Order: sequence, then C-alpha cells, then structure tokens
Amino acid sequence: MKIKQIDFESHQFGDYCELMIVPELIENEQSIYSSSSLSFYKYAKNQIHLSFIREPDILLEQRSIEWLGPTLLITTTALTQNPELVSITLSVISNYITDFFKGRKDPDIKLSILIQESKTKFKKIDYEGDKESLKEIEKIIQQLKD
Amino acid sequence: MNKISFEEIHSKFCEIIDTLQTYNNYTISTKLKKEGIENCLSFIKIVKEEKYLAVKEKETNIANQLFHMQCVLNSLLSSLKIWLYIEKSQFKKGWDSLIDAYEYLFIAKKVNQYEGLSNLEIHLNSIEKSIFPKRKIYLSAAFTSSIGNCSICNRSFHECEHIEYNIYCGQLCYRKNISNIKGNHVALVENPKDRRCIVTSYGHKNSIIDSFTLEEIELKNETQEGIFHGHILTFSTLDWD
Repeated sequence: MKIKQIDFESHQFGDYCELMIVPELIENEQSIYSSSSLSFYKYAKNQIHLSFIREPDILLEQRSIEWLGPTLLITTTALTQNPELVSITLSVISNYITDFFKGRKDPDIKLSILIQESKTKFKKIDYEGDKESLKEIEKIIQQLKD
Repeated sequence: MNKISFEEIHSKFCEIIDTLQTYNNYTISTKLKKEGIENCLSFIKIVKEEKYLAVKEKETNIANQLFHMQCVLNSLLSSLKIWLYIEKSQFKKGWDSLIDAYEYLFIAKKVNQYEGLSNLEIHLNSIEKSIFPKRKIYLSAAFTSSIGNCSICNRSFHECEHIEYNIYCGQLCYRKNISNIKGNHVALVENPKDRRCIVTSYGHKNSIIDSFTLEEIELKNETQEGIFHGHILTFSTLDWD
C-alpha cells in the first residue's frame, strides 16, 4: 500500500458542497475523466450525493493497474454538512470494487482524493493498494481535521 | 422443431463441460480436442439462441444462467485452443487464449460460483505456470478515447444507467464504439489490467531473443541491448453478445 500526499492551492474547488468527481485533465475545453468515473458515478449516486465538476467528454484509460478510480473532491463545506462523508465515500468505493471484481481476487486499485484544508489550500492524497487498506485514507483525513 | 427446455440445455451443458475438461491436457489427442471444440461451438450457438429468446421474453434468471453457460463454455474452448496453438508453436496466440479463458471465467463467476469453476481456475493457473515462462513485466498503455455507447441500451454510456461489467438479463455491459483513441504513454508494470500485453522478443548482445522460446530469432551487426518488441494495446474481441 502506498499513500502520497501533495499540498496545492486552488481558487476553483472551494464552493462545492457535495462529493465531486474531478477531471484528470482539461484539454481544449474538453474534460478528461478516468474511465471508471461514469460507472462509479452511476453506482454511487443512489447512496451518496455526488456530481461531476464538468460534464465528461473524454475518458482516460490506464491499463497499468487493475482499477483506476476517479479523482474525488471533498470540501470543508461538504464535510461540515455531512461529517460521515469520508467514511461513506470509502465504504461505497469498497463495495463497488467488491461488486465490480466479483469472482476474482482483490485487485490493486489507485485513486486520488482532494481534501480542502482552508479556503484555497488543498491536500491531494494519492492511494495505491488493495481495498482493505482504503481506511488508511480516513485516518489521514481525520488527522487533518484534528 | 421442438423447443429445447432449460433443463435439457443444463444437462447437456454439464455433459459437455465434463468432456471438455477431460480433453484439457497436453497428451490428449489433437483430433479429440478439435472434435471437442467443434461440439462446443455448436452448443454455444444453441445456448445463445435460447438466451436471445429469454432476453426477448425478459426472463432475467434464465437469460443470466444461459449467459453463464456461454461464458464457461467459451472459457473451456479458449483453454482447449491453447494446446492447439502450442502444437503449432504459436505461443503468443496460446498465451492470449489463456487470458481469454481467464476473462470468460471471471465473468461467468459473476453469475454463479461453484467448485467446478474454482477447479477450472486452478487448472488454468497450472497451465500458466507449467507451460509458459513466468512474466515479471507487462506492458501497459494509457490512452484517451471517446465515451462510447452502452452495449445494453446503445445510448451514450454517459446518458444511461447501466454499469460496466454488470450483467443485465443475460447481457454484459461494456462500452462499445469507442473512437478517437490517442495514446498517452506506455509503462512497464507487474500487475496490469490486460496481461495480453507482453514483451514478445528482446535484444541481448547482438541478438533478438524470442521471449517464449528464448531462442535467437535474429542476429544483427550492432548491439540490440535495450531493444524490445511487444504488444502494447489490445481490444477485447470476446464473445459477450
């Protein structure tokens, strides 16, 4: 299991009040999302409020890993409105992986979560590992809140 | 023509998979394997025709069970083909057939899981370990593409409610008609999504070495160190419909 944390500043992400799916890249005004984003959105939307930051136009497929998840954004407002948001999100991801890979061994997965720390400061958490260790992300976010 | 009942199909399915499994070893005669493959292909055709009827009648459970049979039969068919390719020294095709067999099996297990399928997976693992050289590195491509259409409803995959790799009334959901494929990068990885993408030959001193046989297949005047040939991207042509 590998977790990498990167601090960054942004003026674009602060106003969202629910879980957001972030494009991996915007190129020529077209939003490029990870190829798992659409199915994950369809699966998760019945369990949690979530939206795309911009409508998806193009998908990015990376075959280096068995499941490349979407990049998710959790703002301070979203966390205030729903303190269980991180725990619910990770649980939805874990259940999705279980359903998606039913019949085969647990896959290696990769995903990123952007957490707002202050008005313009964010932390990007890059996770790579199995679904069992996803809870480590929750511990990191809890430490940030404390 | 009399309509064949689901029970009759299931009984025939059990009979055929038992026979195919007994043929699924190297020493069994090629003639028997070819006959097994022909019988299996004919039976898959019957299973699919019945599945289409069940889909039309919206008999979800029957359609799913027939799709399960279709996948198990295709898994066995692919694993029998491995031996035929090996006999013709077409090792890359044999390897691809092994990966096909795994993929059919994994989808079959989304519908039903039982001991026979675990045994088939163990058998495929044994074939992989004993027949093919161990691969530490695979090639993996990253690329962008259009969103494509849903295989279930044919709408844009962004607009419908279907989820990739779920099974809906005997049909597997996947994105089809993807276009505008643009390569981003190729990586060397240990656990890729598609194990068909392998190094097929590599440079060693002045030679090109085949990665399956380790034989020299070409000798050059200059060093070939650092050069390799491989498959970087494949698109599934498996029988999901």
